Amino acid sequence: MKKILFVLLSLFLLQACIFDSNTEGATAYFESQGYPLNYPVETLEIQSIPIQQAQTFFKSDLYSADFRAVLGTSFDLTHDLYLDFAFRDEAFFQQFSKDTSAKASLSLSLLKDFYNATSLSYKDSLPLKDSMTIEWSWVLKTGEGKTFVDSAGLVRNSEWYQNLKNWDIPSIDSTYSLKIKNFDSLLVLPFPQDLVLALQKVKDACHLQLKVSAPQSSRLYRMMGAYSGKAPILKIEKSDSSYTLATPFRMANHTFYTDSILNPMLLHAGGLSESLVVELPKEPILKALSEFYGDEFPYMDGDGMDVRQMVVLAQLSIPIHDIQQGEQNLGKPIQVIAGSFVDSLGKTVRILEAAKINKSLVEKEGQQNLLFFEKDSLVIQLTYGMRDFINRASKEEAFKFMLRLGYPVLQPYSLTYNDKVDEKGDSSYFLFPHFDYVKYDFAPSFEKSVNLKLWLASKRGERR
Amino acid sequence: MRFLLCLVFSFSVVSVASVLGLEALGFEDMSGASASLAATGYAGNAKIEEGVSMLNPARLGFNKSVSFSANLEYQLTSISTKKSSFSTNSISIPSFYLAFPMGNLGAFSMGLWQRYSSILKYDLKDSVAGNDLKIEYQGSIFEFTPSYALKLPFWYRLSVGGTAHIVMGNNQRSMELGANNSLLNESDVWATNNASITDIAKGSWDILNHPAYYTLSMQYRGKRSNMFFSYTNGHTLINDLEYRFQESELDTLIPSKTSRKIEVPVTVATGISHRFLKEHHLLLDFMWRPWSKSIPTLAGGYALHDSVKVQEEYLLSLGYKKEGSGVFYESYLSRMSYSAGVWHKKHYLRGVKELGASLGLGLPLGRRGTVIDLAFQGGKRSSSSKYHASEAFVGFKLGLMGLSSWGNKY
Repeated sequence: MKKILFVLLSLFLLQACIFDSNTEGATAYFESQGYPLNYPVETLEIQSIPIQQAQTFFKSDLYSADFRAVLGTSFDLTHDLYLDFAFRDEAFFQQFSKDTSAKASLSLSLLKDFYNATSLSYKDSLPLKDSMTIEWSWVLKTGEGKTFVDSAGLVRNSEWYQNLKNWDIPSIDSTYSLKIKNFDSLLVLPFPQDLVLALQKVKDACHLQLKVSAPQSSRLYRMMGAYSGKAPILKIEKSDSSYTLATPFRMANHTFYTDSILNPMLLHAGGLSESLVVELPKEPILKALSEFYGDEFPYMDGDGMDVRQMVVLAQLSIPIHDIQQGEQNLGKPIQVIAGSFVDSLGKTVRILEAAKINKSLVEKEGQQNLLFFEKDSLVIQLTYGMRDFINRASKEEAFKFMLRLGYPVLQPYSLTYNDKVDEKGDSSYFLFPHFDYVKYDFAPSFEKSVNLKLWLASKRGERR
Repeated sequence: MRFLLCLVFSFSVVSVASVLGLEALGFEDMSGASASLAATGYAGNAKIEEGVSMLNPARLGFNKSVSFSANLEYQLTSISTKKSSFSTNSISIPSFYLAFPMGNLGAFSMGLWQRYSSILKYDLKDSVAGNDLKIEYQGSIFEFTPSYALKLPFWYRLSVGGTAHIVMGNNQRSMELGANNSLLNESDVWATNNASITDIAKGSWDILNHPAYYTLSMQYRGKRSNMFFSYTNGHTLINDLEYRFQESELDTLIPSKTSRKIEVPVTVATGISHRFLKEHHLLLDFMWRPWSKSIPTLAGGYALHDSVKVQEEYLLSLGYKKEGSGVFYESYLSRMSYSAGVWHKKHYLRGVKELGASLGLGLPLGRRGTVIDLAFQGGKRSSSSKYHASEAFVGFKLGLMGLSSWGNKY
């Protein structure tokens, strides 16, 4: 047995001497057999593609204002605020209901982080004077005991938002003269008398759903939300100056178009459920590919799925003219987010595109996917979408993608596209963490044509 | 059984065998050979001994003991073309079998045989573009082989048998490639940073319109000479494939699906064994498989071909074996068996032929007939075609044959 082991070990040693493995030899072998060692990349520019269709989709659902809230208007949008209170104070309400000089108010804290941001110039415009008309409407339920108060919280937020969409309670207007000297100060809005009278019917506990709307305002006020640490305060006060306080346990915003005639290519920033879906005709794209490769496009053999080439990167250039097409408040460039419609196990889903940074260009000319940046074109990357489109071009009618407006950009020449900490340990932000409620009309852009540039890798090779 | 299956598959995935036929069927493990058969140069399918022969299931009818056989193969291969050479090695368990003789009711066996394998993994360097690239083949055609054989009741010297070859397995070719920017303007190069692309083809094996293909054979057992003849029907292998060309696993591109059909011709085999001087055996086997239709390549593309040309395949083998003494108190050396053999094979790939030789030892373990077989092999696969490399190889095959009288009266 030992002899056999000896023979085996000798064999292993022998192979180490005779059989020399080397990467160069293997590389040369595979290359000689026609295997690729890399994939050659080529670019294809497709000029003057007309827009087939463009349509804005806006979902006017309510959304949480628990941390940040807005009230007023921004260009053609109106932002209403809803507050949900549930509290009890039996001792107070017994006296309050008999008080003929009772009063109540809602105190709102302005969003200090926003107004005092060093990158904005709002501080210079203080004091801010405004005459604001508030439309108050409410649903007040009264009851008794802790159980009644707790029951208000049993309604889930999503259910509450859905219920509020059907709000048709008549409102009562109150006009206030505001003079904001300091953004730390509270915005105190006394309740109209009808609301005070309604509150006087409370004996022990109440559930108050309050809608605050300022559609006539020429401004957009940014407030702290229910969970912000400086929640709005409902103050109910007797004539002897004794009072009770309550804060909302949740808040919601509702944003909707003020104009009844909709512009189908208008897009707003503001974190809204709004997107602009654009379709490019497939013919010019496939024709250009066909001329480039000398093959039939779309690929129709077998199941028609085209894996002959791969889109390494796709870049679409859209002509823009910011001054004619858009309006904004904060004076910062606005990031454009692109998405594509791709296949996912037989279903079409929308995914956001990832952007690859062209370092030398960004350092020299700034990021390419910005509006309000004094550029004559908006350049977005649609790599995932174009990969998918060419892959299943035999099944698709058009190339479809989506645009959405994002945050204001503070450092358009930054490469990081993210927040960072510099050498001194200071935070440096790429994006301003508050929305600018921008309005941008893409109709003039889409009256013109767009240019598509593809970086392509192909499996085609010369036959040996 | 489950453990053994796991063992087989786990060994199979790490093996790196030959580069022959990577884009076709892969490299063929000869005759589903055990180490014992390999030791005689693949001759000896006609010789009556315990175990299972894939070319001659009828031999099973003469088995006396329940037997178990598992084989492990290690091979070092030096691959060369006119311009390059490199070497690779492989370790695999190409086959294992269980045989159950049932007396007058015949004998039954089950086996698993890695019929073809195209397994290779190489990290290469593209000196032109400076990229790393990875080429990987993972493919095996396994056959699950239930067999049955019966000695004819009216003539005990003749046995007939058959094997159903139930085909299974998967295959995959994966190439991870970096970008070549030579065709780009300098201002466009940024787009290919970190953009390595993986070209993947993966599929599974099956037989067209049938669960299996079949081997039928008959074996004659003489006093000194034995012979067999077997016939395996032609069949069409189906390789259902899907192709992907992707940058990352997160890409949702729909793969292109297709099937390649490979027409495998009939196989005819025969062999004879002759005993002389009590323990000495001379063995001669011949197998013939007339391939005629080219085999579509696995994935092709680039400068690769769409199909691989074939040729008539045959295996001619000549072997010698000296049986060890069955008397347990004799010296160990006299209880060992000694084998030698040579073979010549024309592969199914056009222009590729093989000449090999082997030496073997049978090492008895205990008194029940359990044997460890060891076969040392070496040879050369030479290619007259520019599409295939020539290969020189050395290696060994290690087999364990366990015997038991479990379940039968012997």
